[in-house]
Amino acid sequence: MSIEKPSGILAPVDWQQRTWSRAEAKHLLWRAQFGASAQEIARVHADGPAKTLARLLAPQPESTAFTAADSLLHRAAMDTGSADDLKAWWLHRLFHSANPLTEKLTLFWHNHFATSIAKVRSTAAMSTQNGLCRREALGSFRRLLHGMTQDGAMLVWLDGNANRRRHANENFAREIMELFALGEGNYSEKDIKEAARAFTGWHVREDQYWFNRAQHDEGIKTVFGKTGALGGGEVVDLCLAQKACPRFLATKLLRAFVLPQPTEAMVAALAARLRAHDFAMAAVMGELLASELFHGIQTRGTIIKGPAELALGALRALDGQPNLRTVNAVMSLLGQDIFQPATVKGWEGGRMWITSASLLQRANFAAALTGTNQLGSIQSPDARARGADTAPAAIVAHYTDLLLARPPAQESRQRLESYFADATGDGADRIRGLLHLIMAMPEFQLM
Amino acid sequence: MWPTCAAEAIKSDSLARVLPSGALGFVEVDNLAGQIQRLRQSQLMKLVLESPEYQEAIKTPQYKQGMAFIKVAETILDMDVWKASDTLLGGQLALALYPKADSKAPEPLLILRASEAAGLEKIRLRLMPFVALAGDKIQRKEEAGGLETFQLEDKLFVALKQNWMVASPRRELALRAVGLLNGQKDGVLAFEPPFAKLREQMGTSHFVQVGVNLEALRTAINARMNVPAQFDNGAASLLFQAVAELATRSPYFGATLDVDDKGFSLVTGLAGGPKSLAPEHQWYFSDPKTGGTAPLPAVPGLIGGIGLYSDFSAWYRNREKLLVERVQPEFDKFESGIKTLLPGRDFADDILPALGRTITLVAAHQTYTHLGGGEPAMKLPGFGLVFDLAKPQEGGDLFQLLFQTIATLTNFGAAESGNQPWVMVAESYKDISISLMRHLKKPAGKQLPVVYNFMPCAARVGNRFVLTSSPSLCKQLVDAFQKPAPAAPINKNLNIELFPTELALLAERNLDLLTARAVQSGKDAESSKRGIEGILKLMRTVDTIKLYSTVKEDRFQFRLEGQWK
Repeated sequence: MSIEKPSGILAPVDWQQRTWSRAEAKHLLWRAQFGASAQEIARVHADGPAKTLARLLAPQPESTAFTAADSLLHRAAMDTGSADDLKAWWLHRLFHSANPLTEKLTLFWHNHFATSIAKVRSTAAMSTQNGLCRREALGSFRRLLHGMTQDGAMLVWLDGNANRRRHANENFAREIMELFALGEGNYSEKDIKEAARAFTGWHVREDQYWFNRAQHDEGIKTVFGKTGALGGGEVVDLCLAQKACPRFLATKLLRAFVLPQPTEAMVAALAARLRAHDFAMAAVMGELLASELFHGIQTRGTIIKGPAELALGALRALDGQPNLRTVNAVMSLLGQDIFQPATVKGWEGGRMWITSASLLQRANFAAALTGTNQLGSIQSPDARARGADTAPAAIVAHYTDLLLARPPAQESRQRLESYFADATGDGADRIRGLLHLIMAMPEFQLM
Repeated sequence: MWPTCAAEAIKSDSLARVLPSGALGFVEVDNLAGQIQRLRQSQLMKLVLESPEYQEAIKTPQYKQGMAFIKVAETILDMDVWKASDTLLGGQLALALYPKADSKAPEPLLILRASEAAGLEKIRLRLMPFVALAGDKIQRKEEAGGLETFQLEDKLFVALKQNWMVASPRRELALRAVGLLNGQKDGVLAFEPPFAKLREQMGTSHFVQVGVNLEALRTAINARMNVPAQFDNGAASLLFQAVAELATRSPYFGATLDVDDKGFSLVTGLAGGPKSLAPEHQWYFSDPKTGGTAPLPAVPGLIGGIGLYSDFSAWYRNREKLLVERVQPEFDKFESGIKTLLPGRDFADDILPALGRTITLVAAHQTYTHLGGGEPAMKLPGFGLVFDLAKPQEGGDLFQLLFQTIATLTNFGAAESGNQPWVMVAESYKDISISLMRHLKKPAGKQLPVVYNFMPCAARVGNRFVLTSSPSLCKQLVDAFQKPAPAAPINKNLNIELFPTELALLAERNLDLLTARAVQSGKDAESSKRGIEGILKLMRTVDTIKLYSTVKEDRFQFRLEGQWK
């Protein structure tokens, strides 16, 4: 059965009628990956939206160098059992992978199914869960949710072993409904109590799912009005069948990829597409990233960058090579410690990224990136300017265009030009100073 | 005037003989060019020149600027840089620092004795046009006896004659050195008591010799040279306080460096033995007549180790004299903590008296046969801690109790963290009972987590208690201690030995992990691997590195020795 094309606000942009500009290309890249270099923006601008989206949505072969480094880093994390090594491995993927949208969605799902190594204490189990998120990043949310309920790390995280026949633990069932599938207010306490019984005996042994038949309640349960000897898998299917499920997911996707406060109409439209595609994420994301809604001018520069987008995005924009350990430490200071989300709800994101302390840390990050090599090396700014117009206005235009989602206000631009014209030191020092100023601007916090 | 008879003890051509007395300290270097030549021809240099780091470095602007500078210098001197080095540095070089009236900064005096007069003369002639270009800024004079002097405003005075050169900001100081070079006998630095003592105790013929007149320093700073009478850190007190106390009494601090085809030796020394100190500071030193720590146990695959010989019990008893009041409550806390691990035993009354005076820590490659086929992917060495026991039976029981208690506490931690618990079992090896903690479940698979590097073992072997992290090392230590005792204990308080070839082997076994660390810092995998392999090649050129202290009635010395292949 063919699926109807999206219409209304999710209708695809007709690029015959609209110009595919550098700004459009930059907007797509900043949202679909972690930042974009000048060369990447130029390539995407040249390729056009259809080819770019096809590349982002289809699996791309990784380079030999990437595969070698990825394998080394992953083995190190498994061999040492160190959380820092595991974080470095994933940061390497987030930054260097040829499948950036997959990695971005993997981080999205990691936040959705927030599980912390602080409790799980196993790099192998966390890596397996991360692999599941990656495999289904652009795959099926249905398979992902089913997989997550039998994931070793998740079962440790939500105390699966405490869920026994005579003492059903509601924790697991509650989080599935509240945090993973439906959201608050879309289930009753009775649904949770009955669902908890369906998950009894879903235990974990040596970091793997283990069905402990002796501890499974095989009695009759009623969940969302359906009665029978329900098992955990059937409860998951019942959750997916609820109207609230695609709406819950649509809200989160819109906040992460389009704009921070989606309207009811936007949520309803995207939820319909999720249902229409039976939660097939590649199709849904393809439609979303091609839509009028996504490319509308009102969405530009509206999302506050999370620490990963801020740190990795800046390094990518400046053709940097990150020091994975120090970048991870900075992201942690800024509030996003990957593999270690603060609560079961994950990182709230949006405005919650910005506090007086984190704003100061963001300024410190800019200073460290432009003034030292602690966070990795960025390509010599002097080399970047070489061969180009070196007039202050041209240099400022180049870097504000690269780093900011929207052009700066006239007054801000003049200030930057004035700073650059008066700055002392060699060309590289002056440009590093300029980059520091741009990255300290409130506009840089948005994408 | 110092007694000239001491001159007999001094190498006839030592520059210390022509340095004027009154210096705070001096450095003398003999045939630096020869050592540079040795380094140039060494395997080490070959490896450095082949290393990726060097190949990267030669592309940098700084390297290119340096090479350009050398080319300019070679053109000016009309000789290549190595010939110039042979001429200027093939003889002797000495630098002494003298106190300056009304100033904290000392005044330097430099003496250079070139290997050949003709070479120095050639350099002098090539530099003369620059003297002429300087005009009035440099006053040149030809003085009696073939002496040529240059006065650069009031900043530098230089005197040249035959194959030597003297330079100092103070003309009078330089002229005193000129007098000594011309055969005068009075006011020689080498005959001053602190330096005469230094040369007597540390020898006179070295590649590099450094001497500091501590008596003069004490006059300049204060009687204790800012060494506190009581330390505020227990670890610093254990390691350094007694030596620092010795320094407050020693007339000199000396250091020598010697290098030859087989290795190097760096020696630092102070005059004075344990008896010259107050009783509370004598605990650190071994008795010069009866010996100190034993050599490290000869176990296969030894990577390195530390032996420490001291009367720890005496240090603990004297802690109120040695440490400030502020840190004393920490000892009470420590004793309370020890009581948790050793219920019913008192640290000062029961535990310390049972300990002997030597503690040894060793690290060696370990085998994993006890794991049933698998091996940890990250391979760590086995670590062994050996305590000499003053009361073998009582001490052995105490340590066994400690071992058992730690096993229990560790299992509580394992239960909380979901790790494999340990089960304590006993095994007899060559009539020695070894207690070992094995994992409850034998690990499955070939590549195991890092935790499988650890299977703690304990055993009493005669008057020693052995604690190790691996069963293979425990058995090897039993073997080593059951062999007849080696020759008389070496008189060392501290003995550290490192075998870089073995360390390189360990690193090689963990090459992927080390490469991963480099990749984490932003480098690419291939060049990181090449860089690490280059470092391992360098490590394999070194046989041993030893750092040890020796105690005699009248001197205390630290020696750092390296031997290469």
